[in-house]
Amino acid sequence: MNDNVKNWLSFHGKGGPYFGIVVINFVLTVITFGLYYPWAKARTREYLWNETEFRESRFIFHGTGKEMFKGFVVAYALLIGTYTFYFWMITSTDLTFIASVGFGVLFLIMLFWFIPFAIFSSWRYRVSRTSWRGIYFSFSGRFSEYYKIYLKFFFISFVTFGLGISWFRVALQKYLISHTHIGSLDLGFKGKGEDLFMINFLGLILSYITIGLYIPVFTKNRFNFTVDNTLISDDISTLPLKSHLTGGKMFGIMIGNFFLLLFTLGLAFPFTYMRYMKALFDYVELPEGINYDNIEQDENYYNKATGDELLDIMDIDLDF
Amino acid sequence: MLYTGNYFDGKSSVPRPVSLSITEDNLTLYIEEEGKLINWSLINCNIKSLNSSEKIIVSHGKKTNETLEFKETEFPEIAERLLNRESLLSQSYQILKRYNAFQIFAVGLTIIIGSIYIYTQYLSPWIGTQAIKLIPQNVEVKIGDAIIKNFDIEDANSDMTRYLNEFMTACGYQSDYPIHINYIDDEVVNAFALPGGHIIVHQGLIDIMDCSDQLAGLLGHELAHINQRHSMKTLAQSLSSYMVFSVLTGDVAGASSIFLDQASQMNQLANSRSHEKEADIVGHQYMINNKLDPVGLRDLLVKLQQENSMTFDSVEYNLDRGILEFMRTHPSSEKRIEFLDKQATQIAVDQELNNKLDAIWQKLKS
Repeated sequence: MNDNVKNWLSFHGKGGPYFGIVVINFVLTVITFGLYYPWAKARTREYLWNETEFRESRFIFHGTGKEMFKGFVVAYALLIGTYTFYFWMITSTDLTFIASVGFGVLFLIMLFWFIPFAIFSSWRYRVSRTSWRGIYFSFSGRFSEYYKIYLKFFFISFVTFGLGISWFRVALQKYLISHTHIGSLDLGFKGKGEDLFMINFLGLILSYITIGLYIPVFTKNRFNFTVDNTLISDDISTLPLKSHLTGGKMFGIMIGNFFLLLFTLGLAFPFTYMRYMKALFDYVELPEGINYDNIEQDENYYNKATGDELLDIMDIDLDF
Repeated sequence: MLYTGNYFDGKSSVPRPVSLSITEDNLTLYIEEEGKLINWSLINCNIKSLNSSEKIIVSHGKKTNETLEFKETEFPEIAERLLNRESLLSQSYQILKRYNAFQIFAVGLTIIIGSIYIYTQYLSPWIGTQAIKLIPQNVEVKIGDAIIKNFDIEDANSDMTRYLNEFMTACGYQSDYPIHINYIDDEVVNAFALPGGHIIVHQGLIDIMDCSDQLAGLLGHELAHINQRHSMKTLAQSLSSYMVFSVLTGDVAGASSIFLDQASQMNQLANSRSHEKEADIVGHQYMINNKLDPVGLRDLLVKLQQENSMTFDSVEYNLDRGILEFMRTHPSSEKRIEFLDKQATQIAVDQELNNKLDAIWQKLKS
């Protein structure tokens, strides 16, 4: 492989094939009363991963429907539990007080345990099921540590009436990213809460003033914040990634997508999604000075990936 | 240069250019730089890039992490051989490569719309019927009791409520549920049934009626909804639809909140046409069984149509009647009348019962 291969990611997904996957997934999910969903999710991810390229090699998603089915069952058990609980609540009307206390407890459990657990294990699962050139990604974080950070920053956000939420997000992001490894390479994160706070603060104010015209810039800023603050290191150096995404490019994509969706009553969503993914990934540059052609497999990756199976089952998509 | 494929040994990311050849059972990789030959038995080869449009990635064995990556266009026959070994399901995804975006879009759209149609027309009603078998009657009664609290109904001892219940008892319809007629004193032209035995009648509807037969017909129809457990079926159907929807969109948390809304607004679940028809038939039969003139229900529908109002069971509360009609005009009203006309049978009306109902009717109207 020659040395002038660029260190940029590129995304090759196309609306047509993606729409086809959506259709096959849709039909199979409906005729199996939803049971096919985890397999459908695996197919979608395989496609997204496969269509992302770095130095002429594609990424692979190794997760299977069978694995994700476990998390799916747990999520559904929770859902059905909530339904049952609700029915019990409205039918035992003489127990209103106990019922509302019970509901409150359920809510707190969701907030304080389920959400961080789901975010954590979802990240862990995705990372450990990703490879590039046969080199596995791995994750060395522990839920107990992550959970402490979650509680601490949750408390801070709470007493600051939500102002601390940027620091909250950064702390969680930092933990997840900096415990992620690509074979012998390590990732890190140098973002600061105050920077994200400024992005969010300006974003909210300016989006409001410009009646939404600032939203593409806001989206771009948030994406670039994550990319530009992500570090990659080998034995010798630690260097940041670089996003070349500009507000103008993002604006073009978002306006185009808006009209595409509008004129097709939303049916063009596979096409707009591919456009959006392309916009994000095509402008990410990994630093020069890291030898990507000689990453070594971390022989412990397999242990790391399946060390705590319980944590792997909860793979739920959460926008975070 | 023959080779454009890259081989990775699973220990490092060093790319090793290879040339490829395939036999009946083996895939052979030749690393020219090292002069090394690698033989992979096809049985142990797994394609890792089923959906990829251009590049084929093959892994070998479960523990080695060795991979091969090549462009499909460079080795099309090898790609095809490997793909043919995959499962039918995987191949169905693979087929997508052969068609352009427009073809996929057109076919896909047809399939989606078709399956939504089949789902709503056949599958969902079936699920509803099956699901309610699991719900015991007493739970249904409790649900109804809980929901009725949300309505501004008159006290059970009020004159109108008493007369209506007296009227219902006099009709002598049979039901396994404890039947309560509830009365709301407002202009809304409506009446409907909740699960488990509650029927709600608005003054607006009573104003439109002009004889006891019509009320008897209405109550028979509403009772039929209760006895046939229509609300529970509708609830189970919409619940199952939301479940499928939430699964498709991955929005499990959202589904529960939608469901909670749904259950709390059960009064607003309009009955489906097939449920209306069934309630017409069954209610009609109740009247015949009790020797009441079955033309009452038909006459009420005609009156409602004349009033240019909506039929009962389309339920909406706080909206202005004008908007309401626009939104909820029941297109099948004419068909229902037509249908009831066909059902019309001459029966010997029980005059004594009729007189009794008329007497209560007079009290209701005064």
